Amino acid sequence: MQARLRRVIRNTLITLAAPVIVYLLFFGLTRLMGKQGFGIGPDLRVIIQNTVYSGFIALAVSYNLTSGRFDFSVGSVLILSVILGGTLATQAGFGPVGMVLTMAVVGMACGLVSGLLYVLVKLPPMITSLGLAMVFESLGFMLNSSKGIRLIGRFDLLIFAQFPNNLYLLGVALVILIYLLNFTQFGYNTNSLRTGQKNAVDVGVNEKKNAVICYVIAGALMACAGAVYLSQYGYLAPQTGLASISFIMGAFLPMFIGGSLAKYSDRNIGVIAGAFIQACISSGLVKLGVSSSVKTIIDGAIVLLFLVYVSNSHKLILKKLQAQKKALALSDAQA
Amino acid sequence: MKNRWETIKNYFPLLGLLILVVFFSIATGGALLSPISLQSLLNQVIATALVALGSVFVFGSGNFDMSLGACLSLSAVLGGMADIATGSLIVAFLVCIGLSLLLGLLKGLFASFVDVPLFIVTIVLGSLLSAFTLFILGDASAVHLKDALQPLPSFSFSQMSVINLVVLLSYFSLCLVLFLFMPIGRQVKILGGNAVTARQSGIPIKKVKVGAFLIGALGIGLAAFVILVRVRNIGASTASSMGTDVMIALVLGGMPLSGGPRSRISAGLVGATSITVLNAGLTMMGLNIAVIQIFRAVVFLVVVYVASMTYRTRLLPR
Repeated sequence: MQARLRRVIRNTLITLAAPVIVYLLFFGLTRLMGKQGFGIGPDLRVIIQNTVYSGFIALAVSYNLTSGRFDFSVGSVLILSVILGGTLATQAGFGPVGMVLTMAVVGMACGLVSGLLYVLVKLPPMITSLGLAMVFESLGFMLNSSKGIRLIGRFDLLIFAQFPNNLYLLGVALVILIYLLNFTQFGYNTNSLRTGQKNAVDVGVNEKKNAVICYVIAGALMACAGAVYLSQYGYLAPQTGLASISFIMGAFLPMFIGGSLAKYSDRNIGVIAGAFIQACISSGLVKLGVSSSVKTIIDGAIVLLFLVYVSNSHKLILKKLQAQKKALALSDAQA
Repeated sequence: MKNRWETIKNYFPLLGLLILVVFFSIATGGALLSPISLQSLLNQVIATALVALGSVFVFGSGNFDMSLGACLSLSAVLGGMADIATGSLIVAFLVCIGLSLLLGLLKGLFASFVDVPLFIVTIVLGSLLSAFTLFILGDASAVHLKDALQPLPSFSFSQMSVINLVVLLSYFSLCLVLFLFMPIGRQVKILGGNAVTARQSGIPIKKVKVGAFLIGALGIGLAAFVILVRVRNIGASTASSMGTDVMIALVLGGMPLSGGPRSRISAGLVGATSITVLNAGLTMMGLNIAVIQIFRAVVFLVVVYVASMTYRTRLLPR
């Protein structure tokens, strides 16, 4: 019991360590450079807002990517669910919660279409999602005379960019996801398919059903990200030419960090910790006076470095184990 | 009988192109095949074909490159800047090709020596390069060749068509020789088909990957130069749809995006022509951008589905 408690405390500390260190690093760095205001007051609210927004996207992408399904259509799902869901909700006179739920339903419907197309035609997910991204983008473009959605000034509806409403939305989503991933058959199946597709299918896991559910969850999460985005800016313009793929960019770093932290805590919590780290880096660079394009370059470089580390970290462990084995063999030979 | 069917299947992409041309000629009342339209189509085909031909090597070897458009626009912007600074088209040409080769080498080295999912690297790289292009453009939205210190030669529509044709035919010949008559062609197909088999067969995987990306980069550099000379105003959004166009082109050309033994060099040329005719035909029919995009998506999915109908696994593909 004591060992279990010790393990829980150790894992919690490890999970929290990375975001806290990055926060403190930028806090110190900005103070050192004579820049005030990082990570406190309004800036902390911006960090939380960005954490919630990119956290939702990273969670959405993680449900498919960790099972080897790269989904190019997530950005287009966000756009379509916000434009269609938002338009329907405002026409029906719904409140903010009703609007988010309507967007989520549209997002889930898009996810259902993505999932069904993938399992029915059995084409690589990159192909099906590229095709559907073009279709969803076009549908979003056709609505409202290509004007997207504009709710500027509708403060009664745009409440999910305000603290703590954004945290409530993320909190509700996290509770559902943690329950789904850790305490349901869907969660067990998802984890088994992630680690060994063939073995999981051989023992009777229904891969098709699981894949469709993952796409539906991803759709709902992208709709939530869209609701946060709409609340922040008040409008969302449609996009074409697969420009919506750029929405995925903000998901990589949180997702990789989430994957690294998954062994210490829940993957969903790890992803949110990663989103917080990304938001701290972003806010810190802004405070340090870095321009938008340079910030994108730095963000990209960090993602690439982290990707290289995540993809190759097992080699370091293997090397260490081999060295230990060699040392043991040598000591045995000497004895 | 089976061999004859396989031979007939090889002509499906050409048949598809023919159907597209006939359909849109009728739908546009012959406007598609008017001399001006044909010249315009030719100029549009060139850039896509140059990138698509090189991409046959990249995609054929099992690599998925999502940074084609960003590499092209950065090469073109820097080529344009070099042109403005020196007044020399040769310098601009060398900058376009040199930078593109450098980026190709970088991607090739990543693919060969760093154990990472390359398509994610290329998505990130694409975003990074677009940001870098915006950074070097500064407050300007584009570089304009008219700002050059020395007057630059400008080319008429017909002259431009001749330049385009010469560039395309030279690059096509190079790709054809490399793909059909040099070891790298076979090695690319084997590597794309099965990396383990390729390694066990003694194929120098790293060299092949770097080589494939360099050949692809040469096409991107040439396309950047051709676009620079033709358009003369280059910004970060130049050729932004190139990545999608090339992927659809390869599929329409009869090549699977996963690469392997069914990769073919003709896919670059036939596919680029098909996607250009498709885009132009739909535009000439007066359809709006959203309908055109849905049409492209449906064609893309249907062609991939039909092409891979005989290959299905019990497990879902990843």
